[in-house]
Amino acid sequence: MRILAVDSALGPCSAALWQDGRVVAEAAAESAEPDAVLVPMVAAVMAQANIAYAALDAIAVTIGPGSFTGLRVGVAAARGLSLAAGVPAIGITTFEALAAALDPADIRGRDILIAIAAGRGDVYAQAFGPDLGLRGGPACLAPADALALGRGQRVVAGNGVELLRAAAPAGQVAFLASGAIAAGTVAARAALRLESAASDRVVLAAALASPPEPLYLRRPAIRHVAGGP
Amino acid sequence: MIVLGIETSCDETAAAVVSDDRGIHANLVLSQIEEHRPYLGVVPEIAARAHIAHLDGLIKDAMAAAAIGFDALDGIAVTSGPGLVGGLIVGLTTAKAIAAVAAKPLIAINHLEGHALSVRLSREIAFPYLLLLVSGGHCQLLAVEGVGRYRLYGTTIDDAVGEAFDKVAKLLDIGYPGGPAVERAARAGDAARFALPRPMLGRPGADFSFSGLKTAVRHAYLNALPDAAEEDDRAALQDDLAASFQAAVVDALADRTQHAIRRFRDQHPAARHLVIAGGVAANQAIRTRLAALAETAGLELAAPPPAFCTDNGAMIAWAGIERLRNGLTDTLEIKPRPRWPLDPALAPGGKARLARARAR
Repeated sequence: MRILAVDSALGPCSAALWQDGRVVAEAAAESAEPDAVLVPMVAAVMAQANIAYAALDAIAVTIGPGSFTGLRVGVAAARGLSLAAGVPAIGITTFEALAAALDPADIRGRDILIAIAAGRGDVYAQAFGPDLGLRGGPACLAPADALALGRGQRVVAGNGVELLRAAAPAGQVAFLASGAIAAGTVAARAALRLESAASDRVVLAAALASPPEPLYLRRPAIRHVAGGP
Repeated sequence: MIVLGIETSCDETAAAVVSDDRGIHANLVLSQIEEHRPYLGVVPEIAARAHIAHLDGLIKDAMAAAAIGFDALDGIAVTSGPGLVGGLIVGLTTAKAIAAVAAKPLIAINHLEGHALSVRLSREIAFPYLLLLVSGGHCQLLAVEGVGRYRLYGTTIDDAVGEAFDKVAKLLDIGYPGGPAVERAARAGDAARFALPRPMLGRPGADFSFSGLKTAVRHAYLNALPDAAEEDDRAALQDDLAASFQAAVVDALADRTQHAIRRFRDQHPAARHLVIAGGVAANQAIRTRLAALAETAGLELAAPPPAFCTDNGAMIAWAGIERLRNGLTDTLEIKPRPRWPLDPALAPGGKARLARARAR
């Protein structure tokens, strides 16, 4: 299986080509300019791997939550690549990409709580079981409310860790410093989803029928109306 | 030569496929008017979200309508400024992705250049011509001397003319978008009832100003409102004020254009056309006055059909063809330019540069 993955959800950008269970080409940048770097990065990865776009099985992308600009660059790139190459696009949430990147040795059977800085003191949060099973839907919450997600002992990861640490009673949660996403992880999660759905054509068709949409978790701010009074 | 054109700089998602023989093989425009109507103006975040939800599907439909594959394209043209950055990012990134996969040239188009060249999509109009570009975001007089060669004669020092129409429509509560609403109301109104100012009239140069006129409309409305308690009086007030406002705008545009014609004539004695483009160019009262003005000056007024005056993908595809013919393409590294003046002398901005450019 060949999957091209892109990520620009949280600031840094990366692209990776996943083939038969491993990353065969990748590129990353600590860029604040995803609109400039992401598509050239994809072109470089594809050239490095020497694989035609049409030979891909899927394009994977982190759909958020994250920076609205970053999400739009990533999702627009994935949907444009998908359209032109004639291969499906698959969205992976930022929560899933961050949770899947954790080292099992750090998780040690505990629930995972992913917290992403959402601005205005809030976090985007979602909890997973130790095997990455969902523990409910994602939400934009105050840090104290986010700490109620998940069960029992939990490990917290994501770039909102510090916001939760400040709101947490001592000793109940373990905090990890992880906040980075690698496109390789995004590709691996997409591969897993395709493989698990492959046995069921109906499930697979449904999964591929709708293109990835940004997961904003915040309504549009009506700050400025262009042409308004 | 056949080019895909993508436009997402404001509140219209558009995709078109156009060939260099002026063939329009597809021209799809998805308006977001309903999404923005509750706010009586374009909300940038709502616009950005709508563009990403619809753009790829619209491109797919345009390619299907044109019955060609991406392989058959000679280039992908996309508006990369000026405009709302959220939408520009969606359009530009989508275009880059398609260009990368199809291994075709990317052509970054200035939205204003799309409007400036759109008249040539319908018929052969030779360079140079004088252009009055009037839309919701812009109000400029330019000499169009060739592809990529634009000389700014004047621009608005405050509101764009379409913006003034929108604000007046909002004040009078006669509907959204404001341009067609004001024109409709004005048709039934008495333009002589309110003596509104003609901004910049007789002043040297070709700059515009609509902010003071808008304020005058507000004052006139608030003064007259207490005497318009009956529904009929209220409707008459709306119609008469819309007509008076439109008449003031027409006078101001004509005066500024007349100044520009004089300068244009000095610089290009053999030129033959005054061109009007942009969404406000659909206004019939403006067209009629400018046609008369052009005739007096020995010029012919040329305007794109109304469908190519408002934002569309065909004009972007056409600008792409014009640039591609001149060997002008862009790399996948380019960024959107939310502010991007058409006259290259103005590119880094600044009032001193603007003043120098106007003096040329």
